[in-house]
Amino acid sequence: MSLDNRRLGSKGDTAFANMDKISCELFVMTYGALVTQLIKDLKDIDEVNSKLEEMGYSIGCRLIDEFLSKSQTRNCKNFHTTCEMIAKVGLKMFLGVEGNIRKSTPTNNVANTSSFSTSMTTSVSTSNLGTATPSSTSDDISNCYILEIPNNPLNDFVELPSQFKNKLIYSNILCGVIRGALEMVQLKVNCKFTTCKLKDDDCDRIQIELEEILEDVFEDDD
Amino acid sequence: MMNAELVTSDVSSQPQSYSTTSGVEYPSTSAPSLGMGSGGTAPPFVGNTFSQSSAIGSTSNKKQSIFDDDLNAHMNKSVSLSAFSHLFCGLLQYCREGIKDVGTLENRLSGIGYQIGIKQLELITHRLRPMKRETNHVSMLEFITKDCWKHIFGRLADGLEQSMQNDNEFFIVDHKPVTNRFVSLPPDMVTFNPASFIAGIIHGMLESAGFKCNVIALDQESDNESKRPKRTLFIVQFKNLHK
Amino acid sequence: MTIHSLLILSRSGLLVFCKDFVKHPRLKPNDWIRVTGIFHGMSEVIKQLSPLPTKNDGISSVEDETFRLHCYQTLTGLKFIVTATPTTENLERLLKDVYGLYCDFVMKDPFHKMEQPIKSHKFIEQLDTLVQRTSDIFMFPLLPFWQDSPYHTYFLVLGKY
Repeated sequence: MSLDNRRLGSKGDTAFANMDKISCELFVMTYGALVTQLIKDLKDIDEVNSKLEEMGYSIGCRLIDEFLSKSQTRNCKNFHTTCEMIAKVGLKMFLGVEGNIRKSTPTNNVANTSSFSTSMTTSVSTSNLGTATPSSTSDDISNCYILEIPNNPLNDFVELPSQFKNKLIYSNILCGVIRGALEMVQLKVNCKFTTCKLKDDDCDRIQIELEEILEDVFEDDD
Repeated sequence: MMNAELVTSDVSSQPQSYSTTSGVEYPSTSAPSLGMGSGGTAPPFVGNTFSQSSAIGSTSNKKQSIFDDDLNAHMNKSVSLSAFSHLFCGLLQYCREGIKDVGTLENRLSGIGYQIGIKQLELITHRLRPMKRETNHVSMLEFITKDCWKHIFGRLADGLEQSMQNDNEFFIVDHKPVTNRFVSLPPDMVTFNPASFIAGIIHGMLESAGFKCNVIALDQESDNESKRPKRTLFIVQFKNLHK
Repeated sequence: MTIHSLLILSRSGLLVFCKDFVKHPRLKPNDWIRVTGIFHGMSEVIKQLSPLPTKNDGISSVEDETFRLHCYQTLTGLKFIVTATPTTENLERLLKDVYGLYCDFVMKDPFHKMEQPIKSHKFIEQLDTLVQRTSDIFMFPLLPFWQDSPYHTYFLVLGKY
């Protein structure tokens, strides 16, 4: 498991090293300006959140091809590997940061038709930060994971004014990107931010919940 | 930490204007003064933000205030160009929503760039030449084409030229602006130039430094005779320039 | 050594890009739509025919005495198809490179709409260069070998293209 992680980690490093780079500041400021513009145009914060997600979705649909092509990825064994791939390779490749994957329990228990849910256990409580050891989860595959992004670059330079603090999901675009990208590989997922550094939490966390594997599935043999 | 204090005071005294900049650290207010040491009339900070942060500090997870972060912490960080290109692609698609007219689209895009220009200039000035302010338009342009370009795009601009006809007209030359790299214009929008975004950044920098101007991005086709490759010109026209 | 045509099918099997580097004697661009439609259908059927549960990419290559076809299917369901003279090597590599170009110049083009025909002229330019380069690389080192080949004449004629 840790070996696997390290392999993925170095894969992510290589992928990032091979990408053309641009100043992180230009990137985050562009994103900041985009969010500002949305707030100005749409007025309603909930609308801004969903617009960001929608934009992310369309970015994700486009971005996945580059990810697959440049990371030379073929198949992910299961949903856990898929999430690891996002955290270690995907995030690294595009944003230059790494995330961590931890198991989580789905918030709403949808009847799962997916083959992933066969051995769903609730071994890790998500609220408890210290006890999660990835090695203990190697065998059972959940269909809900938490993606932790300790250093989300989008948060750089940002402080939410108090009137937005509990409404605006600043980095919501990431949820859309993950949803869009996974949908292109036949995985329908539900993404949402559970904690956010800008809301004084210690870390950004995105919950990725597998809803179903879309019909013409051919890349997952698990 | 002169700038940080300035920012703090801005935040606490003008919460309204701050909110419109989506909480990015550099408020877009009072552009001309720009805090290049010249705006040293910072009122004693009211401590709004700081008292807030200490309140947070007392809770279990210790959250530092954004003002505790080192301003230079992000200096050499980079993200992949793809991430930016995709974001820019999304931005452009958003800007195009409901807009048919090329001019409006360019204005919208450069308006977004403008906001970035203001913030970038302040940041770069703080890092490279604190307490110094360019008052001459030519040296300001040089500062932009060299230091700022290096900071933002990781390389120098490909040239700075002055117009033969107009004293107040300058061209910043870039052979491969990053915004145009992956964009192919459809036939009905050939006049549109995605580099308007960069034009907006330049515009924001110049105006916040106190130079009123217009900036337009223009693509110039390659010239076989003089072996000049295809390039993008940013035409800077200064208004009421006093010598 | 000559690339004849390059086609891209979208996720749903639509022909979104078609370029003949060598003009096909019979097939017109409209015929390609029909041909690729059938190809897509066949490929999907073959995927289901495979007895093993492991992944199956459908038709990945077709060889014939007169031409050779290679198809690279991405995980996202796109199909990149190339046809070339029978002894052309490294078609798979070429298709992966084309996929790379597609990611850059089509997917990052805000004016491209998903599932719509590809019009991005930068993509087409880059593709031309790529195909040109591929033909060049393989043409010169292999020339002596080619002189004994029955396709010699054929090759030389097309090589000038």
